[in-house]
Parts: sequence; C-alpha cells; structure tokens
Amino acid sequence: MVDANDRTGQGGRHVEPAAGPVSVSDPAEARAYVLAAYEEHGPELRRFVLGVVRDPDAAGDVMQAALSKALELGHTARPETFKGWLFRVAFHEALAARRRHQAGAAAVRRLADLGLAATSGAARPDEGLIRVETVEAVRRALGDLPDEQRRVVVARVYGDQTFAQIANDAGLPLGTVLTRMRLALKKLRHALRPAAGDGD
Amino acid sequence: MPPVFRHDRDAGADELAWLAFLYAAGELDGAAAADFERRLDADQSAREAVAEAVLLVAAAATAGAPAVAARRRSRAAVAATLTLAAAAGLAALFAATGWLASPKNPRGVPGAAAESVALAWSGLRDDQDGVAPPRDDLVAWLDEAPDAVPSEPTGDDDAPPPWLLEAARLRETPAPDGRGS
Repeated sequence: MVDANDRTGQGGRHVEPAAGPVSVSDPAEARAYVLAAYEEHGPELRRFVLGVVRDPDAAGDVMQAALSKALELGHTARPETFKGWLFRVAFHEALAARRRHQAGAAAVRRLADLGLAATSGAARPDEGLIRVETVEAVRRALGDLPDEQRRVVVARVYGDQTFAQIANDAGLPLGTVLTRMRLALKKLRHALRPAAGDGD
Repeated sequence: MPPVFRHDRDAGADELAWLAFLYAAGELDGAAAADFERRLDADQSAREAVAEAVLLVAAAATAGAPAVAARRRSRAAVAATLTLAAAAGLAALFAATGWLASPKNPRGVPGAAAESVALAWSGLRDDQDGVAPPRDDLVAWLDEAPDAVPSEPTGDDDAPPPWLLEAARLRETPAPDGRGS
C-alpha cells in the first residue's frame, strides 16, 4: 500500500509540481512531482471519485489505487495534462470499484451523506476540508432561495427522496421539480464561485 | 468577449453542472448515465463538474447541520407555542364558563388566567434554558413541515403536557350554556 501521507518521497520536503516536463531520468524527482501534484489535486479528485462511486469506502480504495498508478506511471504524463491524466486514471479505477461494490449495494443513499462523506473519512485530513467561507456562502444562498426551490433542495439533499418521489409527494409535475432544483443549483453554484478553491 | 458568447459559455457550463449533479445524485437513467460516463472518460471539465457537484452537496450538507439543531429548537418552540396556546385556552375556558366568579370562588381570581399563562410561560422558559426561539424560525419550520406538528402527545420531551392539550380540547367543546368557543 502506498503511504498517502508521504507526500514528497523526499523526507518530507515539499515539491511544487514542475512547470517543465516530468523528469523520467530521475525517479526520485518524478515521484516527488507526482506526489506534489497528487497533493494539489487530491481533494478535488476525491470529490470526483465520490460522485462516481457514491460510496466513501470505495472512494478510499480508488484514491489509493489512483495514487499507486500515478506513482508507477505518472512520469509518463506531461505536466500540463497531468491533472486530466490523474482524474482519468481515477475514473477508470472508480468504474471498476463501482462494479465490485455494486453487489453489496452499500452506497450512500442520502445526498447529504455523500456530501458529509466528502468532508470526512479522507485518507489525508486536508482531502476532506471545506472552507468555512464556502459553507457560509452556501448557507446564505440556501436562505435566499425562494421557498419552492429550497423545499426541493432540502427534500433531495437531506431527505431520502428522488425527484420523482418529491414530485409525487408535492403533486407537481416532475419537470417542475427538476426546474426548481436546476434553478436552485445555479444560484448555489454562483454562491460557490467567490469561495471556490476548496482544497484544490 | 462579446456578451452573446459569454452567455453561450455560461449556458453550456450550467448544462454541464446540471448533468454532473444528476449523475452524482444517481438521477440519470442507464443510457444517460452511460452517455455521461463516455464524456467523463474524455472531458476533464465534466470530471471537474462532478467534483463541484459533490462540493456543493458537501457544503449544503455541512451548512444544514446547524439547521438540524435549529429545527430541534424549532420543534421545542412549536411545543412551547402549543403549551402557551393551551394555557390561554384554559384561561379562556375558565372565563367563558364563569369559573372565575363562581359560588366556589365568589371573589373570582382576577389574576388566575394571567397567572396560568405566566406559569406555563415560566415552565417554557425553563425548558428552553432561557433561549426563546426566533419567531421566524418557528414560522419557517411550520411552513416547511406543516404536518410535523404532533396532533397527539407523543411522549417526546418537546410535547406539551397532556393536561394542557386536554384543556385546549375542552376549549373546542361547547360549554353547558352554549358559550363555548
């Protein structure tokens, strides 16, 4: 197993991702580069993986596998495309993990649980961090939503309800519920903008 | 950049964000999910959109945690309001049935109604540890979950005492002389 806490591979010395090509002639430098890049993109990568597998345990496995692959093959990627390469590797690992875990059907059901999984249970403490400003911005945006939009958000995120169930319960067409969620999501995303950069 | 192009770009970003959210929420059907996963295999912006959707849900879930506590306070506030209303109802019942100046109570008890309300409120304040729930929280909670107000005592700590609920029900029952409300 790869030690995800060994971010440098060089006795704790932090190495910024290099601007030039990854050195393939110096394995230690390549490893340091990959670890630094993994550190930089790890939190965002973990959220992406969670979105694919929807299972915190599986996400942890995928992150480990992605890091192993990155250390093994990351030196073959060009720095300017390393992030995309890393995400693609993780995506393939996530699809494989999802196939393995689907038999157990242990994935989180409530979206809130998925969200909370993104803030905890990370292999490294900083992988799960969400800035206080981000939470506050979203809280304010939630408060500013029209009631009908907020109700859909609350029911979908905190309740164990699909959009179809929400529509059924409210006696509304599914399209209306989806439109309300979409409008709400757009506003929440805009609220996220000034505070963007969580752990990224 | 001309506004029209920026609008197109924003619309495209919104569409991608929406798809990514539906995907992360497991709301895409098999074919749509497969389509989106083909895009995820090739498009880094789609992968980042999924990460952002999860970030949004994470922030909303985290922001909601205090709201759950607030909801708990609001539930207590609902119970408090019911208690107060029941106490007021009891006082009104006494007044309506003439109990306050009955032969058994010839002098009447001018302060009894206010006192019962004051007692109820005092107990309420004790239960709340001196923290009065904001009215807006209560109204928002009621508006959000109108069916969540218990119609019967539930045994929950927040529920008003049964005798007060009974008193409130009595208020709904016409008095023998037909003066009940």
